[in-house]
Amino acid sequence: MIRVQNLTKKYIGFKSPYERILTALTFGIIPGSRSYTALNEINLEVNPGEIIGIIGRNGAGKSTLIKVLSGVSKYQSGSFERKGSLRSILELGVGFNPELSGEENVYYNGLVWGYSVEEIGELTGSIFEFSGLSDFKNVPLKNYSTGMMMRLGFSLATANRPDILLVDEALAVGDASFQQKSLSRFQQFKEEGSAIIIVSHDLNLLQMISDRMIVLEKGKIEFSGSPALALKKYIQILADNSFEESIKEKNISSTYIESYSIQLSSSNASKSIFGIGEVVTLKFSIKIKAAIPDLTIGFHIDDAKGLRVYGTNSYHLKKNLKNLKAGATIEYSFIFPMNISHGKYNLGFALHEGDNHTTKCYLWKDDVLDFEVERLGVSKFDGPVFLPVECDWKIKD
Amino acid sequence: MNKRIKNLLVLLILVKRDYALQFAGSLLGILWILIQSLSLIFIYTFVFFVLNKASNLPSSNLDYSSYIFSGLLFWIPLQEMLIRGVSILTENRQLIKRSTLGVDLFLWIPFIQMLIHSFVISIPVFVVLAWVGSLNYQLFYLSYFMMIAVGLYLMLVLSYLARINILLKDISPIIRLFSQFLFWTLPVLYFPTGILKEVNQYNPLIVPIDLFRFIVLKDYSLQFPFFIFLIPLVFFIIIFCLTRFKLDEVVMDHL
Repeated sequence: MIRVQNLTKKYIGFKSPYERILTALTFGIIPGSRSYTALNEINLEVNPGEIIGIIGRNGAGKSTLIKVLSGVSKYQSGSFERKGSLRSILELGVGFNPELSGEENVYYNGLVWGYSVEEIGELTGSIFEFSGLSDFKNVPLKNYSTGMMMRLGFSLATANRPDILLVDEALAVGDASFQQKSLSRFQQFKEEGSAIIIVSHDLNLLQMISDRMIVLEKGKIEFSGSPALALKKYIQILADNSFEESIKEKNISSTYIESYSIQLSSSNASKSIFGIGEVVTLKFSIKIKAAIPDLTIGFHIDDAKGLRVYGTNSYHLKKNLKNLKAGATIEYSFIFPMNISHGKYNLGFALHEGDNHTTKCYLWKDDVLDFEVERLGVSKFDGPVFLPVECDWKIKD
Repeated sequence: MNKRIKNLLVLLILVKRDYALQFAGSLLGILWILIQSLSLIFIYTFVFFVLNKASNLPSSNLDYSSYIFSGLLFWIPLQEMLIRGVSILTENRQLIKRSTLGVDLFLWIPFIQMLIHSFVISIPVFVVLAWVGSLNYQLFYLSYFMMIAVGLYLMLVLSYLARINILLKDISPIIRLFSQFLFWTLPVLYFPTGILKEVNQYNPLIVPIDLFRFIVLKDYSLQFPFFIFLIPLVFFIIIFCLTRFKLDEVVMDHL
């Protein structure tokens, strides 16, 4: 059981290295001058046999809450009470040592994670069996793949039932078969009386297994209740999340372009988070410095690893602009559905002549806008693109 | 099982893990500790024995090599503990973040290792001291308790240094330099005389090493009054109390 009352957590940061030194020399009595409230007056109760899902945007305070509840992070005010054994699953696989074998890692990490020597001795066989790594017991971890490490981490963390289980972004790891086994284990723990708190961006999966969901926004609980209503609330928060203004740049060192602004929006509101399939508008406003006979406006979207996800331009779309006079201001929009997988992306653009920028380039900008795509109501799928697939079938007896 | 006993068991296993990581793939494994420490002791003893003989340093009833042996037996494990202890939290950060055992347990790893090193090195050193007739048979076994006490004394300040190492990223180079100051201002390799003796008094380990030699060496008389130890002891206790007061609140988020 966990009971949290008016819990507030602030992160202390430093403006300069001198502040760090001052804090160290004064034993933390003079803290850094940067302060950020990650959790604000949180009240929460989780009972045995209950799975609570926590959702929220990046920076909402989800991981901080898990860290505070697991005792890793200190809090400034409020209180929390917990009864029973606790285990937290954070970043599976991290904390293992690559030089040690799988079995040695299970032994040493298991003890630190709260197992007794006897328990580890009894459970080692079943841990490797559950993870499907029985043949790799004595292999150094540096020879494991990332997926194998995650599986071993999950198997170790859930080898026996804790009274309280805290899970941060480790809801479903490994292949489909292992994910199924993992979810069954959560259900089994729940039925046997564990109180489970899960933080995840996998909204559909979380909705499926949670008894109750909590929406965190800017360190506060915005909603606590049924998973379906929690998702609606979350989508509403995302929809309400608008930028103050678009990206603007003046005094550009270009002979042809004086200034530009660029805005990514949907439903007439500038945003940084979009749902998969949501129709968005990418709007350019460009002020021309010198006459341009033929202008192509193009944009490209790269994923977090820098891989090009998509790119097009007005030339390919046969909507080029001709004979632009000096001093003219152009407003140009691309409208498209965000049919890409969930994740973080950045957007760049190019202003040039003809098919591509190699002929004559007026302006090229990478990483102008950062945005995120969330799955929201869309069913789970694999791969970088979203195809709005529909099914049709007939059964003949 | 009692929580304290359980934590002690986990601590011993963490010590074993630390050795396993330090010597992973090494043929001699933990034997390196003995080889490293004894080599250092014999090199220092040889060089300073020659220097001492050549320059006719103040005469003593004591055998000079026994004097150096006892000094290095005291110093080497403590220096290792100091240097290792400063980075113990940052090196185990991923483990600490997932553990419900708390930060303090990890701080005891270098302490236990210091005791093991001290014990391992002491065996050949005591054999040599007994062979040359310098061993104080009546008290030498107390040296193990002495090392526990001095280790605890250094832990008072180590709990602070390990924590600010998280905040200031890495203070290990400063601590290595500081340990050199400690070493050369401590009469490990020379007799405390003249201006050096004046300087020695300000070293926080001066009374402990003096007592250690008194316990280990036959015919050794104490060189420094005990009361000068009270000032650094009080100072270290204050540092420890202040560390426990507020520092964790700031530091742990930066781990």
